[in-house]
Amino acid sequence: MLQETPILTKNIRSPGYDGSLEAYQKAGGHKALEKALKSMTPETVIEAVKESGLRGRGGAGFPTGMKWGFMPKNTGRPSYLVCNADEAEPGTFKDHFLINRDPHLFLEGLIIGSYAIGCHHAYVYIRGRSQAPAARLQTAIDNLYKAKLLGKAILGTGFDLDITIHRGAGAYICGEETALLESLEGKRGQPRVKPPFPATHGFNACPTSVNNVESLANVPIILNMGPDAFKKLGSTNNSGTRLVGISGHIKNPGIYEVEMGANLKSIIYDLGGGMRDGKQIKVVIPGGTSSNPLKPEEIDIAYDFDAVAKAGSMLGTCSLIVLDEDTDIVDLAYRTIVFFNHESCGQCTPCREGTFWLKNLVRDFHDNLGDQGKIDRIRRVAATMFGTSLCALGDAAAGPMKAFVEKYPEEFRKHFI
Amino acid sequence: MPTFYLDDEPIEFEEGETIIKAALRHGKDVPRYCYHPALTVVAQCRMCLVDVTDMGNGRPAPKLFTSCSTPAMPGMKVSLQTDKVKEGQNIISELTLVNHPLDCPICDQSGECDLQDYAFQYGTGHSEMTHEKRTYGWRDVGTYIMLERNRCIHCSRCERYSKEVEGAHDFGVFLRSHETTFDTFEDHRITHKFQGNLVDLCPVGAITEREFRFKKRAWKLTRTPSVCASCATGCNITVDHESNRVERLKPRENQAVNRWWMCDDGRIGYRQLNDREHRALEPQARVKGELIPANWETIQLAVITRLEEISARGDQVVGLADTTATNEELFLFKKMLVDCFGAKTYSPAHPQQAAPTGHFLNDLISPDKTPNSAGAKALGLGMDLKNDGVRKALEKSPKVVFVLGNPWSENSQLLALAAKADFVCHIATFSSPWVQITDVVLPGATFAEKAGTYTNKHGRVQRIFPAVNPPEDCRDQTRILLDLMRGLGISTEFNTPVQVLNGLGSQEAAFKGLTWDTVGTSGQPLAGIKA
Amino acid sequence: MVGFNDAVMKEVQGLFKRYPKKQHALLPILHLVMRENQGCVPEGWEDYVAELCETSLNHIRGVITFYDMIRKEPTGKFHIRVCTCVPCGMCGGDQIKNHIIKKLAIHPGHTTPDGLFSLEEVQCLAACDKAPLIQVNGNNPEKVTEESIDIWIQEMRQKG
Repeated sequence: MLQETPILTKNIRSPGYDGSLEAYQKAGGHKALEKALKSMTPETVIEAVKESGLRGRGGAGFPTGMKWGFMPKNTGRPSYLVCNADEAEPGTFKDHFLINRDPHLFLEGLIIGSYAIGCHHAYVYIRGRSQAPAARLQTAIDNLYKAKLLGKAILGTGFDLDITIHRGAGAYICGEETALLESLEGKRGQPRVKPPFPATHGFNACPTSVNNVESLANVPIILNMGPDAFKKLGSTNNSGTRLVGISGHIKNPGIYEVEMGANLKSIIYDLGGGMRDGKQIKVVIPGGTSSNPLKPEEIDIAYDFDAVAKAGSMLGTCSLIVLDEDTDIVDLAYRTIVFFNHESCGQCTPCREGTFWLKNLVRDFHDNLGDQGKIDRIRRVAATMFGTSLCALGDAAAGPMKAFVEKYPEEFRKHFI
Repeated sequence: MPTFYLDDEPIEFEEGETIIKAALRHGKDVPRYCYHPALTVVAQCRMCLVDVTDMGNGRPAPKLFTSCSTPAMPGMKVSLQTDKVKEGQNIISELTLVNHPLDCPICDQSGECDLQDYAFQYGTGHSEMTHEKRTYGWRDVGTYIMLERNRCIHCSRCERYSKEVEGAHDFGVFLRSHETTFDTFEDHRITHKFQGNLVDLCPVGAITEREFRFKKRAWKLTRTPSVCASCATGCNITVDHESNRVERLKPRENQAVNRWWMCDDGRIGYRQLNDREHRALEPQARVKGELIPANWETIQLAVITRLEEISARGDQVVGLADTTATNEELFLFKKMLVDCFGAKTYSPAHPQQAAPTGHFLNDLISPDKTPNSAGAKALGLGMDLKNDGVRKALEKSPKVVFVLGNPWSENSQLLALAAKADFVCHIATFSSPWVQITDVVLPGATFAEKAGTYTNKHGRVQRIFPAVNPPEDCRDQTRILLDLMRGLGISTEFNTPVQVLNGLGSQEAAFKGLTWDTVGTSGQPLAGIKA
Repeated sequence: MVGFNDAVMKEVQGLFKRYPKKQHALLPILHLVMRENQGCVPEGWEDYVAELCETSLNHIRGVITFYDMIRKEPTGKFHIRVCTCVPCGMCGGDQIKNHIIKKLAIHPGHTTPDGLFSLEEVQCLAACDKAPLIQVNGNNPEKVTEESIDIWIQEMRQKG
């Protein structure tokens, strides 16, 4: 029987915890901050995060310590740390869980991260529709200012930091780090051309690191328990725990914290409680809508970056969408492509034209106007879109479409004319 | 210099240069829509994909790269020929076309359309798109241009131009996803003088010239290199013409002068080139107070005879030349006045541009609306802003006045003084108040009808070529002047403007070392002027 | 009237201090515009914001049309966002949407004639475990059923 491993959620899972500053400090919060600011240099903080093997929790899984290590030093320009709380992929709600329940945990990580990369003004980019979480976060930040944990000379050290919350305005693409930076600069959220990378030319053309909420929340934990202990959690190359958000036709949907590499099937049955009404699983989307669907026979795997990739999908944001036998795959595919078509920024050809075309093609099946030629066409258009677009959204849209028609052709055949 | 390999061919590049930039510099063709050397790199069209088989470290790239955004690396191996990249080009061509109206038969861009060319060269030739195409509709966006948004391929060149080059940001990008559209703000029409550049930048027929709309098929046009004669800047252009009619003027890239641009005032200069109404169309002589047509032989003989009759010398003869004449014509005119009469030549001076504003496009428009003031100055023609020299010369009641072009034609005081002369000989292209007082009209050619050179405001000598033939009875001014000189008994070895320029260097210090060939396609500065 | 009052202007000045350039504060300022104008950016405000943020009118229009949340028409007193993307859609989001449409007799993107309710169909509200979701006036998204919606609409109508 798989159990939760409450590391990030230790406070949240303790009864009566309300996420306030007092509660956080009573639960032993800000020890890591004190340790970092008073007894560690920025370099040793980065070293510790590198050592821990922490991989970014925003979807791509890029090592956080390495990201910070790329930031050029002494450029004469300010450095920025931007926390990506834009979380807008259908099925993903773990960052909002942290912001709502325990905002001080990731804020502590944000302060430590800022110290590590020499940032004196950090931004939290939160999605626009999340007015309530943004307000809650603002209260938390105001309290930190009052407690002199933000502002000038934090904890009596020479380190100054301001944090500004920047609300988006309803564009999924702003979760892509360069689009997020464009949006932070008051522009249309269109991903930038790379190179140059944000590490050298990010916000306001200054060195910038963009990190996910959950990644930052792990930082104080790493400093508290030590990188070696952290590394022992999870599987090889996939250290730590993950907040897994389970949604869909599941008995107990919600956020569960498990060690990386826990068995996917066990997560669904032991933690999620299996399917509602005793139904069978038809499809599992393991990492948010942009990941390829897995069939029930494919889910007996370790739930970490490498094993899920090996199964032909991706871990992404650890957002499990589990759907039962009554699911119409065409309906699922249509909702997915409608989402990506709507959220495409429209600047590059494959994504702008490809998602539109795919949407039209899948809609034909949705309207029972399909034929074999259209199945082949979906596969061809999706396959050819893959890898030619400017940012990952094109791939994110094309991948699942190709997978749907390849894995469930019979479902599409049901919608022939 | 470091080197990378494009399909096994070594290409040298500068540190930090992108693949496409180095490849284009070496004359390679890389298909592209959004990339333009004048604009920031956005890598949106994805047409310039290349297959990097070796990133310079022995490993291949994980996927196709856009050559506009990928910096070249030493030892990098890049291909435009592998199956992978050809597939990529196929896909991008197909996707670019799925919502394009394919209205080439009625599109002005047809024949010079990047989309057409690349679809032909890199496309599959078929499409499986069976859904209704996206439509946006036509927009009236400017005084000089029109926007047909259905043809737009979203390369964003227009938006970047208006933001980065022109600066007013009057072209914007609105909405998102497949609805993304490039347009002006509501009914704001663009009124600035640099709209034509948007037409040139647009790789498809989305932005077209109002005046060129439905007029000519682009492939029928012949493009003759030339220099814009509408002001002293001397933007490099091509004169696009068919059936002896000039249809439009287009900028020609010259980094030292106009880069890729020209102003709309220059573009509409084509109208004058087709103007027959105000044109001096035939040789005329004044008989009993009336100008009557005559043939060239008669009139040349009559001019020579009349001049010999008067046999004026020195101050009794004055030459007036405007600065629309080429260097060669001004030189011959001055030479004729000096050698035949020992007389002086004057040209009107024009206000020069104030200090550069730093706005490249605005600095292209010079307040001096003639193309060759700098040439006249370099040739030592008497010029001053207050016209003192010419007034004094005319106040001495000369007997003969030679007029080349239409100098001081609005200055009635000077015209009245000149009218007192016994004989006024006018070499004219367009009619002007001079016609009222002249005794002889010798019809010349426009800049699109002759060869020669202009010297721009920065002292750069640039060539013009005959694009169309002058009207039947009009003649190249060089020939008119040479005929007159021979008639007056001066032998000259010159026969053509090219020969005149080649001989100029030995006689005029400013033109030392300049020949037709050394001036070349992009021009050369006068001696003593830095490039 | 177009333009912020002094109190909001103070907030704007506070925002400008938090960014290296004035243009960077564009999104927060647009949020302020919408807060002050019934959830929309009315006619004339684009010019005002362009001047305030020292940028071009086309830039403002480009941004406004890019982001879903920025509206040109005012919202109702209760702005209902209903999610129909993957998890919500698969758990009955469409039924909820259709139910609201029937109940309020308006389509997404519209406001009831009494100005009380406006409806918007959105993609993901980031609380997918509670699917199907609606969000009212930016509060925390809530799990709903057709019955709970009926009751809520009834209450709000009475409260007016």
